[in-house]
Amino acid sequence: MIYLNDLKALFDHLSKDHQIIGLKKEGNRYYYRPLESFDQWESSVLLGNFSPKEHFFPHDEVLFYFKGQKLIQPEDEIKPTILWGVRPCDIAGIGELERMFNQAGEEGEEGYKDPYFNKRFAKTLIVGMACTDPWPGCFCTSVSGSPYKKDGADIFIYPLENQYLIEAISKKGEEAVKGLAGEEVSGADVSRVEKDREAVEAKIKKYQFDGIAEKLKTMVDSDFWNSAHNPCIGCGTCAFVCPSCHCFDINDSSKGSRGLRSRQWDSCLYDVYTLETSGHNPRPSGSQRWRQRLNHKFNYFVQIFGMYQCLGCGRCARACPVNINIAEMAKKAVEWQEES
Amino acid sequence: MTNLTSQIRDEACKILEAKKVDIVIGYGQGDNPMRTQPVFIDNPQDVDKLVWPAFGLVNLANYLLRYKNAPHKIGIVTKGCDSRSIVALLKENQIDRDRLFIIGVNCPGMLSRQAAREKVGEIVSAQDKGDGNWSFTTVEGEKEVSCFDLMPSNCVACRHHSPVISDVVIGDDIAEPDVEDDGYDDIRKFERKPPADRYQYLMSEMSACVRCYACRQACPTCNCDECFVDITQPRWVDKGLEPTDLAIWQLIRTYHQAGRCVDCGSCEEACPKGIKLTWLTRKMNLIVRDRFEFEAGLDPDALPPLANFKKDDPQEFIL
Repeated sequence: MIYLNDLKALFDHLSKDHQIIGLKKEGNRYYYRPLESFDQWESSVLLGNFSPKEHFFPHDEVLFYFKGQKLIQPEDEIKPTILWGVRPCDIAGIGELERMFNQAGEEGEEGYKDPYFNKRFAKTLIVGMACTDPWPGCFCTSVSGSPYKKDGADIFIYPLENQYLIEAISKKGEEAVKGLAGEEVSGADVSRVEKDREAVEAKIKKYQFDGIAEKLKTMVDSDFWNSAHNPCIGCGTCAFVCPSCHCFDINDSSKGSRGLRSRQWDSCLYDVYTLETSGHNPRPSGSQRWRQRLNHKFNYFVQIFGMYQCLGCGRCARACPVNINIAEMAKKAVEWQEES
Repeated sequence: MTNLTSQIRDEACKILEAKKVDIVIGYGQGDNPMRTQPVFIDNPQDVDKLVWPAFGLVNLANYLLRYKNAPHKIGIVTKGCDSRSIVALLKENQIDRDRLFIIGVNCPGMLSRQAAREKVGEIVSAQDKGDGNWSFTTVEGEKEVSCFDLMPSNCVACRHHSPVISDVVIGDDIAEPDVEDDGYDDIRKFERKPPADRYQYLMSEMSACVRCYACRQACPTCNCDECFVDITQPRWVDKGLEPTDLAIWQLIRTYHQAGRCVDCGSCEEACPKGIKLTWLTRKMNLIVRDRFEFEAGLDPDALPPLANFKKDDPQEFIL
């Protein structure tokens, strides 16, 4: 772990061999986009309006082209990339995408490996950054996160008052910071980081979700679902801004015998999401769609992977046209008492 | 608590207690002063959840569609534009008037999150100062803005603040601005720009679209059972983010609103990319007004132009 007075030194060091993707202003919103220089980085913005998942899992992606019977793979060049200044919740989101798209598999079987996600993931280094000033909508500490959680990052930045501590976490991270000049961090400052973490965590709104997966299992036919979804208008905004939502739709587009197959982000809150070819829709109402969404985030994912699928970034509530907050909804489910 | 809030609660309580309605749809407080979440009240004890919001660009008439085939009698808190949507829905036989109790509110205009973002940038937290100003903590620091600078263009251009139909009206009468100014000057100004500039501006707006369909979902008049973009056999519009497909989606959505859009601004407010959607719909409204002397949802007895034919309709476009 080393001290740096200016993050520009790290940025410039890493940009020698990598393209750098970080939060950039476009119009009056912030997105993870390639940064040409350190000055373009919006360091004061905690969360982009959309998450960094766009980099690994683009909104609209060509899977292959076809010409008659012939398949042609898209020839996009994947550059070695640094994902710069990513906050712990978004790093956890990338970790969840990895669990879906780069699965370890059951015993003796190889899990699903999504080639499109993995070709980008393999060439990306994540530079994480601790949050010293969380936003009012943040709730990462309620979903096993922390504003100082470095897990999943290759390099992690801890801001102190006038300087930064830089920690290389993975082998790839160590490799990347090799040659970067900086004094070794003293033990006192390492324990100061720990104190800072406690202080920042105390600022974050805490929800009690213990036992929610078990509770949701008992709520399949609950009256809870009759009203919980009421304000939802059924748009896909929450899923699109979510760092861990990974559902996609596959479409062909063709003219004669030539065309392409592509995939686009999808959302479980769309009425056509589960519409079958026969015309039957197993989830025809908003209440069933919301049951699916909450269960996927707080029950199914917990059962399968032992973790919530919600990272507590609060983007969904910020972007939702009617301010539905998934944490509040989960809280209500935890507190729900069935009338007998 | 504002006067309007307490009056809305009183009216809601009265009609629920008298069992005139089964449910009241109104505005509730969101998780911060800038956010509004619609609430559905079925018990007079819960009327305290109702508020008159500052940032209330959500057209509640949208929720009536959910009760289209349900037996419920519904009370609904209604701004001027929402009431026009209700008229439009009644004309299109989407809902029965007999099942509605309309709590009309003379609406002085709403504030917009999109306008606020344009004015002060990315907002971390907001506070109503109570003196007509709002203070914001933004990623660029503290800022204070007058509420008049936070109004969306459709509220600035609004000439129908009072509900068109209602069962009870609350709030002071609001004088409509001078008739000479019809609120469309910004559209005319844009029309005078060279075609290349207009094309470039509109295409840059439309290519920002992410196809989340928040605009469609927020709109009471976007109520087709099957939307043309969701049709897959055959697919009408490709699903990706090609700018031409995005433009087709936005333009056809606008065309489908001809003579139906009430300019409530819900679509624009719902957009996660802040696309100037009312720029398209207001242009459409201007055309419909000038050529067919019709503004959507104003006259419960008038047939909308798309549902009507008159011999003297302008029809020089027919070859």
